[in-house]
Amino acid sequence: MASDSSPDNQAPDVELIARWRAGDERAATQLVERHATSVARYAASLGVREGVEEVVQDTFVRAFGSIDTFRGDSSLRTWLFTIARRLVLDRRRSRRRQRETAELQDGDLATEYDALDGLVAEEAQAKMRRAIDRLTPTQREVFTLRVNDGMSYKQIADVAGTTEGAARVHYHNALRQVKETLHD
Amino acid sequence: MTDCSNVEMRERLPELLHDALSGAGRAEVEAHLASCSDCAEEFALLQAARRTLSAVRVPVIDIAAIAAALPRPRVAPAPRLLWRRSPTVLRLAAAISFISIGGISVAIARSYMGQAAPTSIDSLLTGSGAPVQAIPVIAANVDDPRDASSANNRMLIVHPSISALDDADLESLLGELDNLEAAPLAEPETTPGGRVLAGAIIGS
Repeated sequence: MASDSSPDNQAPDVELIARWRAGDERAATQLVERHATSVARYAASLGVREGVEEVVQDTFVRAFGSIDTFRGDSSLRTWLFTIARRLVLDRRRSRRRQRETAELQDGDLATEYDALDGLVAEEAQAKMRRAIDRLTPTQREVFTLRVNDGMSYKQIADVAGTTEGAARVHYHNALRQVKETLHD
Repeated sequence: MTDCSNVEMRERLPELLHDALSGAGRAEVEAHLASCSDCAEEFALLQAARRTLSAVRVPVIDIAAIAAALPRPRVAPAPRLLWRRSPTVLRLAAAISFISIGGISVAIARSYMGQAAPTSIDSLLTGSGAPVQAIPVIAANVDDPRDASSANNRMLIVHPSISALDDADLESLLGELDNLEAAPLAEPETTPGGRVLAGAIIGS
């Protein structure tokens, strides 16, 4: 994907959406190729251990099913993350009703979030992983969106359903927490 | 590790991490990093955090399967004709057409009525096919100069066969008329309902 430098692959998201609306189904495939991994990684950062593929597929199906509601004032990736987040929360609520998982609360997910388990061999990265694991779910989500996805506070606020100010506070609290953990 | 007091620079570190700064902005932040150990350490921490987060293993996503599951694009249909969009438009157009055609018809009818074609009676009066310009009603006293203008203004036109007669012919004609008056009147025939037949009146 990344090595493909054809003009089609460099087309902006909004252009590909317009082409898909006009009947070009290949444009949808290109959008999936472009964003699927990011959505999967974001879902994993939310603590999804199983069914990441299902979350990703449902995210795209839901997004393309309601593409008319995409106003374009945010990036497509931000919008996809927003949908993925809702899906993850819906899955958790559903499972909670089935008493299969614990409630989604700060602190609880610190033990639930183990998508990074066994994935990082290097000691420095292992320490970093543990430091991130100790963040609250909200801090971890904001920190991940800011550091890993390079989102602005406004984009984070759109995805997480909060305010820019709150996103800024969560980010700096997370950063301070990570620093303290690394220096313990 | 302490925090740099330059909050603006710290806020821009993630943007530098993602190469989202402009040329001037990037140079400014990099210059700050060269002189600020706190920000340099924080930037190194952000780089390590990004590496760690990027190392999260996610299952291989089947792009083709997702693309196949997507809904088909709803291609916009060709623009519909105007009257298909709204019955109100159709009704309005029909009303305008009806009023226009009706108005034109009335105007044409009035035009024909104002310039009616000459009738057979007109032809009898003129002795030719030319239409009558006015109906002779009262004979003006043409000998009276005071009446001359009024007679002209009235445009009194007398039947040309009568106006061409001289005095002797007129007297002869009047005499014949007297003889006609002397003839016995025909008893008017009446219908069983008592109506006088038009022919009797004409004959009188």
